[in-house]
Amino acid sequence: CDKFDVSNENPDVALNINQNPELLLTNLQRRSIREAVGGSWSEGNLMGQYGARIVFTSFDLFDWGDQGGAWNDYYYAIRDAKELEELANETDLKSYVAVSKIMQTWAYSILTDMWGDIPYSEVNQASEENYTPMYDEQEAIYTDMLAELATANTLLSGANLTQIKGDLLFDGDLEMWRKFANSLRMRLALRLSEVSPSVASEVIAEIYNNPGQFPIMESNEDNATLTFLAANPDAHPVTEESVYRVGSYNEYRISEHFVTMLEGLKDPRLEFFADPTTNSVEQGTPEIVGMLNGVVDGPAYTYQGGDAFLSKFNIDYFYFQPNTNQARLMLYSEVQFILAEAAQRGWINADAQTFYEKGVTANFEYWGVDLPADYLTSSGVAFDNSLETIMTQKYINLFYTDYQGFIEYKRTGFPATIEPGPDAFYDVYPSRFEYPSNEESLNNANYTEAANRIGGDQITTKVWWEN
Amino acid sequence: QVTFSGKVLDQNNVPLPGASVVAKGSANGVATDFDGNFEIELPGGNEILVISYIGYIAQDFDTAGKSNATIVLREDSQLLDEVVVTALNITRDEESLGYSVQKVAGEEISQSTSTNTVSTLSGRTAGVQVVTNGSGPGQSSSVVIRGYSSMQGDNQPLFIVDGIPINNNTDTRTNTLGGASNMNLDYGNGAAEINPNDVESISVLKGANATALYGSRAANGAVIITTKSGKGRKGGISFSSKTTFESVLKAPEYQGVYGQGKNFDFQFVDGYGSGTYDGVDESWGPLLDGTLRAQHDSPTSNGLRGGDVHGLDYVLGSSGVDLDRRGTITPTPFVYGGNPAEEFMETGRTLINTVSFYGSNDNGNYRVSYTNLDNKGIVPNTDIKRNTISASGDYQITDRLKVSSKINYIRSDSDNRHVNGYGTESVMYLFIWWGQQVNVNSLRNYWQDGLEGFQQFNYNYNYHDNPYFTMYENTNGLAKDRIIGNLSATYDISNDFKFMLRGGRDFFSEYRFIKRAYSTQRFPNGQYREDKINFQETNLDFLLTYDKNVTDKFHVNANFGGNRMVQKNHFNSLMANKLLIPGIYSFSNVDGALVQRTSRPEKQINSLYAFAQLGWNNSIYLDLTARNDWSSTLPEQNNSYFYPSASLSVVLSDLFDFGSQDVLSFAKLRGGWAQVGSDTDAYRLSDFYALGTPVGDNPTASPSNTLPNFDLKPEIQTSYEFGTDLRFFNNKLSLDATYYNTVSRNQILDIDLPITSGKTARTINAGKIRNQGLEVMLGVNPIRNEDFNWNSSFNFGLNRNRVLELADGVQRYQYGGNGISLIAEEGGSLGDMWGTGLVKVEDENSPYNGQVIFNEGLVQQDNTLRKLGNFNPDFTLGWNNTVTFKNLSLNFLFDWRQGGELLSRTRLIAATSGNVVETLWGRSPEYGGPHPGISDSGLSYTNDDGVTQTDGIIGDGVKLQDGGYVPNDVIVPANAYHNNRYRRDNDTEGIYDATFIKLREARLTYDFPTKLFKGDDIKKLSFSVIGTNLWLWAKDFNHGDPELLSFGGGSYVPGVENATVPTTRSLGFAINVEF
Repeated sequence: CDKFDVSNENPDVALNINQNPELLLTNLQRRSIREAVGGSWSEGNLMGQYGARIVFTSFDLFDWGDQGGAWNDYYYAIRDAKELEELANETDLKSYVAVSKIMQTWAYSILTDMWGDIPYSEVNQASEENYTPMYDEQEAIYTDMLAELATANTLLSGANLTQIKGDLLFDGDLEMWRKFANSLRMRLALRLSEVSPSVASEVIAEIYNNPGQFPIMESNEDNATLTFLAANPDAHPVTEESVYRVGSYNEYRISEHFVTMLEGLKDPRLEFFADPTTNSVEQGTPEIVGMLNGVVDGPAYTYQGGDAFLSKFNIDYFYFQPNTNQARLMLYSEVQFILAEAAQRGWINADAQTFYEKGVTANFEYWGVDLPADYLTSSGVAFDNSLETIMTQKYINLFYTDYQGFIEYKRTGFPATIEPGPDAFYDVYPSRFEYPSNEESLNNANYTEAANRIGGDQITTKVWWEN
Repeated sequence: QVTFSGKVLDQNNVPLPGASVVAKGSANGVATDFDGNFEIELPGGNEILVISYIGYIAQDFDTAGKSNATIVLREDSQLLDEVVVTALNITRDEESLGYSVQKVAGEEISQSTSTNTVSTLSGRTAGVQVVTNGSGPGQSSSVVIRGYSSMQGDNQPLFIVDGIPINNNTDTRTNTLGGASNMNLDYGNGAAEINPNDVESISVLKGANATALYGSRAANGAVIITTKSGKGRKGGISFSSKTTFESVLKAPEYQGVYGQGKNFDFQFVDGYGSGTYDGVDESWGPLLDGTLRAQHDSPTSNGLRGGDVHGLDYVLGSSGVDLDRRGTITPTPFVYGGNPAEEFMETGRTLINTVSFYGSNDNGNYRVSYTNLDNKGIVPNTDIKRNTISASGDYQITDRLKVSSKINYIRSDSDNRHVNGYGTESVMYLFIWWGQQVNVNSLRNYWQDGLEGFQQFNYNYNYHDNPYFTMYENTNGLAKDRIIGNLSATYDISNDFKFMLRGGRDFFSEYRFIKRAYSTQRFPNGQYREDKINFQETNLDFLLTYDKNVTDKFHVNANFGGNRMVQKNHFNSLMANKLLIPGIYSFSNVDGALVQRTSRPEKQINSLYAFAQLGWNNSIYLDLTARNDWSSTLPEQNNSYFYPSASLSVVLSDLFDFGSQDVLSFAKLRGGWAQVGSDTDAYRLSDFYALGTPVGDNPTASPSNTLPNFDLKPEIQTSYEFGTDLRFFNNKLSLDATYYNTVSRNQILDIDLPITSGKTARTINAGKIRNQGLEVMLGVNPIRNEDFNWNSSFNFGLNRNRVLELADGVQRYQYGGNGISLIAEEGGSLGDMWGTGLVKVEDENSPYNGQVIFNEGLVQQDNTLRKLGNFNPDFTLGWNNTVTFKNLSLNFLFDWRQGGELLSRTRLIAATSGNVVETLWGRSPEYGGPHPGISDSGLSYTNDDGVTQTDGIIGDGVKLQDGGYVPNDVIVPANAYHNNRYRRDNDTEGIYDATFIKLREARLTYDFPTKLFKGDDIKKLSFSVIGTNLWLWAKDFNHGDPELLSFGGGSYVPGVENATVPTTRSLGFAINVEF
């Protein structure tokens, strides 16, 4: 009686993909990068005050809720990346090992920057019966992330590397991966400028002073960006093609804060980022008007006269086209701002102004906006060797790039013009996301320990590097 | 040859229609007509007639020397003839059963006003809960017997038709394996396809004792359907016709006072936000007072409508608005457009016509029937058509060999089934976000002028689809062929031994055709999709029976049998998610790649079983069963599992003399203990990689999310029950009561893991869940005489569930949800609904304890999950009545559900959109705003911008001030207050008590006296007026029928209403004729 005519093996799944590690690579890139893009539109732009909402404004009032979706997406990607790494180690495919480490570190850096202490060293151990990974301290996570990127750089410097497939980011170009790894390592090192300046300066100097050993991005050609496809399901997630409804798109407007800043700098990127208001176009006097962050529902919808009086983000570029807007993981221009800051701080022996101006120029070039001849010498832009000036341009540079604008604001306090909106629930600008409720219920002991250690699971609790 | 005529009456001289009159020792027989009259030809001269009628003692009548007579049958007070169908289709005397089985007669079902066989169980059976997703023959019904016992299983009973298990799935793979953005579609459940007119009777086996012989698959009870045969019936034809008209029972309560817009203002320009708040889909706009305003349906200077905004060269992917072509709008009065759900829904219509032919002779019988069901739903352009051919026959081939067969062919077709749930494809969703001035009729012409087939017309282009466009263009068709059949042979080996062999199969092929037109919000370039389901389940059984009266008093019936069940359930979906040419629904017309999804579970269960019944003196019965199953879904070391049962029935009134039957006519005690094991789904024993959708040319895969358990064990349910069956006053009062207690152990659960562990769940065996409850059936026959008879029965059910244990280290286990979370914790019960709510004062010493804490005048969300209620009722009570006066009979059924909670997502979300009545509060002095408590405010106040306002709300509660609480005094606009309070995560604000009383069915029938048709061959003619859901009283819920459930993520979610299409009230008539 225990003989069966049917099999209990599912015919529609694979039990082994050892010969096709690229299936995991494509999957993890898609998942994490789409998350980063979605998160930068709906949360990152608000937290960084590039944008503001005119309805359902509770997020803008600092009711940040459970960002469990983002947490899950990054951890799913990390899970896939770790499986990929394991698979590649078994078959000695060093290039996949390196690429996996870089993607993991990129995802981990966003997680720890936004949540603080997070599960890291015990992640992905369910198969070994560890169902509740402990939370590592952010300091230790940073140490390891910097080491992982160094290892990736070393692995990618070897000879006779296997070509990788399924790579959405650099189409298998391992030299580009190497540049991304070292550039990302500089971004992470810089994050420690306030808590551990010696590590920060050491890492950045090491990379800058040994370009042969540590190649970094050298032009916009080297950008870590992903161009989406023209059709669903891999069009840009915030476009008509991806069935993101136009009404939802229009709930977000360019922020008054961002408009004021760019107008103050007479920055022509403003005309690229934003559309003039519907009303002003009808009146024949096109103008860009921003929405104030942190206004309660109702009044928010009547601000400046209502939605016809407020500017949208360039709807043709950012919404109607399925794939013009890229996912920006890291731009060459950011590398220049990092170097500018390192030089300004005296960590490297170089001219901060040159880096700064290269960064600004490269960002204009990236967006395809002509750099006005007098821009680099105009008031508020001209290099004055202050961190504020560098950070202002870096902030503009980080527009619509996951949560980076907000994160860098929390590190440096610039732009100083960012402040809680009039109806916001807190007077201080929050620092982090609360841990997802799933962690609280499913990993309670470790969650509680971490929450106590960081000083309470509130959005106003500072992460370690922010001190 | 003589002709003998007569009349058959009961002791009260009430005629007995349908009594059998047979010449003894022959096949020559007739049945009495409605008035109890009969006429029989006796070819052999005067003979002895045997006159019998169910519930009465059969009588021999010698016709010698007579040509007519009146014969009085005596009621059999011991009801020896009350037989029920039990497991394995074995017919048993009810009194011999040691467990509770409830029978619903076929007439109840075929004459019920419900068009769905499953729904007819509601109110007619104690302890059986039936909930439907909307109404109508095409919608799913969920049946739960004796409470929810399994956290992960579907808790649905096994449905058996003529001894063969049939598929009762609600196949939701269209929703769960979609990959694209299609929303929840309900294509109905399998058992609902059984034609009510073909049903002879239904037995509901409630507990493990009753179902032990079915094993694993009937762990949640079994519903045994026996279809009609020609047995014992003279040749004839019957015809029945039923016509009903359906309408909305209760629609959500929309506000109807303020129209679309914001800030009390609105003016339409293009529906994209270029006008005054014309991009919003909310009703915070101006009073609907007839003021002239530009609207989407206002005429324009170019003879178009205000909403015809797109240019003729409009290409999707750009805004394409051409207002010059449209022209300037002539404003029209801004008035209430009417309750959109009521205005949009149409009168549904259901026709069911059945014709059947039947007959029998000494050696066999046959019945053939054809039924045509034609339903037009209340949602425009939805329908279901079902044609059923049913044939059955028995034939005694030799003295020892008998064969019988039944076969049903069912063809279901629909041009369109509607989407249910929250999202743009669902019409009820479209009315959650709405402008109260919009009259649905203005949207009937749903294409934009000149852009037919290309761009829909609507009042809002920012978010929504036109509901008529949705129903007429975005259709979800169905074509299903199903055959349920069986063939069995019984051979009498000797007087005591017989051997039965049976094979049965349920198989179907179902196609689902899904079309989405250009300009659909979710599919701007359209979609075409076909889902195909190929299902087959084959059962082979044998049964060897030994049956002997060992002595006068001792009777033995012993059996040994086996079953082999193989089930294959293949699903294949093909999608073109972007079309090249609008309106061509073909896979050749795809822009990009086709997407394919498959799911092909297969499983097998082999079983051997034995059972015996020992009877003593027809008054004490002992039943013993034992069964062993081998399931292909469990690991080798655990795939064999054994379970026994025992039950005892004692007829006290036979054993002891209770004196006159006038007081206690019958008394029986029964009790039993049983175990049932159950397996799991196919393919749960491997750690695999799921292959995903490629990114362009790059294929993808991801590791499975569930960590399998390679040592999975079967679930075991242990239960005991005892009960009594008492009858008083010559059966005028009967009471059947059962107490049961069921404990389910070793449940197969997917315990959630944090994703940081690399998996999101692991499969384990754990948990211990107890259901205990009481079922009481009370029958009363208060009046009975020749002209007037009133039969009344009460079905009471009460179930209490308790989670005794969860897994080690697991405090809470979430097993479902939709808005709320269904969470089990030790000491809690299944059906507990958890959710989030508002921050409140939690300090018993504070005078403000329990009050809402406001921040800047707004409520604050408290993310902590808390228990909000339980979706299970405290008890249910059905009251079923038949009142007969001469030829007129009235049947009515009341259903009372007490307690249990319901979450209304319609309330929560339509309150943020300002569309439901709750949101009137605070909009003007008339509706309580601004709050009268504010100092020197009167009915107006000055806001921060120095503007005088007459709207606003000061929420009831406190605010924090100087480290303590003071009464809240901050005024906020009504829009901000309601938006915040009814945020969809604030589940506490959408919870209702689900108590209701319903007049579920009523039927008035007139039986025409057959003497009217003297000379004709009409044996019976009746006409009925019928109605369903004629009256509803809901204690608390104001947005519809509290019996609604939602349908999400591949399963029913009871206790949540989520933009579900309203249930219906139906009225109609029925005609039954027999020739």
